[in-house]
Order: sequence, then C-alpha cells, then structure tokens
Amino acid sequence: MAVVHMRIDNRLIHGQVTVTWVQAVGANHMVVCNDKVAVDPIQKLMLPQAARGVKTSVLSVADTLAYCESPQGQAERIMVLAKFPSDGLALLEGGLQPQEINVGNQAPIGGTKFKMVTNSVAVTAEDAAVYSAIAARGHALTYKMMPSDRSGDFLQLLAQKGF
Amino acid sequence: MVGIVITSHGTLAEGLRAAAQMILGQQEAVQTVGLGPAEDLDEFLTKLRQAAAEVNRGSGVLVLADLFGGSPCNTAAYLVQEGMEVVTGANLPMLLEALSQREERNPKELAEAVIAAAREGTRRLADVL
Repeated sequence: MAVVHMRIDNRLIHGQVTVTWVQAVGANHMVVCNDKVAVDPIQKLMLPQAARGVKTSVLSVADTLAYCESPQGQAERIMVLAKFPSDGLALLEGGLQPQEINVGNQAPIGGTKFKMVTNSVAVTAEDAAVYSAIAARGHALTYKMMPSDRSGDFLQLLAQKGF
Repeated sequence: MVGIVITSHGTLAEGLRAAAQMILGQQEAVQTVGLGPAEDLDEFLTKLRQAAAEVNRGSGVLVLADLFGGSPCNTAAYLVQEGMEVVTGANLPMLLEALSQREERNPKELAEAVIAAAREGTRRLADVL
C-alpha cells in the first residue's frame, strides 16, 4: 500500500498540513476520508482549494480503501486525512496500512464529556476506546504538531490523562 | 447600511476591526468571528450565522474572510449557498472600503467594490515613489 501517512484531524486540510506535513512525508496525493464530507458538495469543492496545488480527493471510507488498493493508488504516495479516529479505525479494519499515524487536531464537540489531552486534541471515553483499538492492531500513534518534533506515544499520553 | 462580519484564523479579524476604528472611528453593525486553535467547525458556523444575524440592519450582510481555502472561508461557504456575500483575502484596505461604502451599496455591489480596493491597496512602493 502506498499510504505513507495517516493523519487524524477534524479540520482536514489546513496550513499546517499543507505547508509542512505533505512535504515531510513526501506525499503527492491527499485523500480526505469521511463519509459525510464525501457527500457534501461545498467541502468537495473547497477542500482542494486549500491544498496548494497538491492533488486532493474527498472520499468515503469505502472509496478510500478501494482507491488505495487500486493500481493508480498504489503508484502514488498518499497521505490520508481521516476526520475522526473512528474513520481511522474503519480504514485500518478495511485493510489500509499506513506507514505511520499521527493525531493532529480534534476539536471538543459541545455537549460531550471530553478532556483536552493536548491543547489541540480533545478525547472522550469513546474516542479513547477507538485509539486503543487502533493501537491494538499494532500501530504506534504519535501526536506531533510538526513533523520534526520528537514523537511521544499517544496511548501513553491518554493513560497519563486518566483514560 | 450593509452589516459587516469579519472572520479569520485567530485574532486577525479583531485586529482588522481595531485598526479600521483607529482610522474611521467607532463602527456599529460590525462583528468579528475568530477561529480558535481547537474549535469545532459546526459550532464556528453557528457563530458566523449569529454574527450575520446581529449585524443585519435590513440591508443584508457582507462577510470578509481572511484566507481563501482556509477553515473560516470554507465554513463561510455555507452562507454563500444561502445567498450571503462573502469575499476572501480580507485586508485593511478592503475593510475600510466596506465601511465607507456600505450606506450606498447593496451587498453584491459592496463585494465588488471591496475587491477592487483590496487589490489597489497592494502596491510595490518603489514603483510609486
């Protein structure tokens, strides 16, 4: 599989991602993955505009899996942008094999019981279970802001924060 | 008078408003909506809608967003679907034009006028001097 990086970030494509991460991982295709976003005509139109010239697709979980498996996908260096940890887990369960997984932004959602584990990542008990499931599949989860940061282990951080 | 909403990453919107008020004095029917570092975009859209409702004096609203393709712009795009005028690339010349011309123009005319002002305000000084 040619998925060089999976990023979990509810803001999907934004400056930090396009200016630093895409280059650092050497991606030539960004695939935004989330079933709701994939059928939102505004997001499908606007997200590629933020991509600063990098080829961008906005796909459902099923279509992301199909594309990454395809000969075309296999020939690319793909960075998958999963909107929520549950999208990330669904992709892994579907057979996606990213070389690394980093947690970027997760905004707190009003009305949920969350803890800010970093100043940009909110986690609920449900999220923690999803992250554990991801780690249980043998994937190390980092939470670097910049590609050059030293990587901490996200599961360890969750444990420290009482999850 | 067309109501004005300025929306940006962080505090740029508020900074633009403060700078414009230094030049033009206190302004009414202007709201700023800045995107925080860990902000949910559905809640941000709600804030944008609320701000637009608050500044609407009956003649409509013009939204100025900082960056084309950025989250504030992409969120404001839903308002365009609902018929609202949104212009990106918000800068001080644009805001000053919006505040100076909003009595005379409707939102669409104002949008066109502020784009011209934003562009004319961007010059190489060595070419002028």
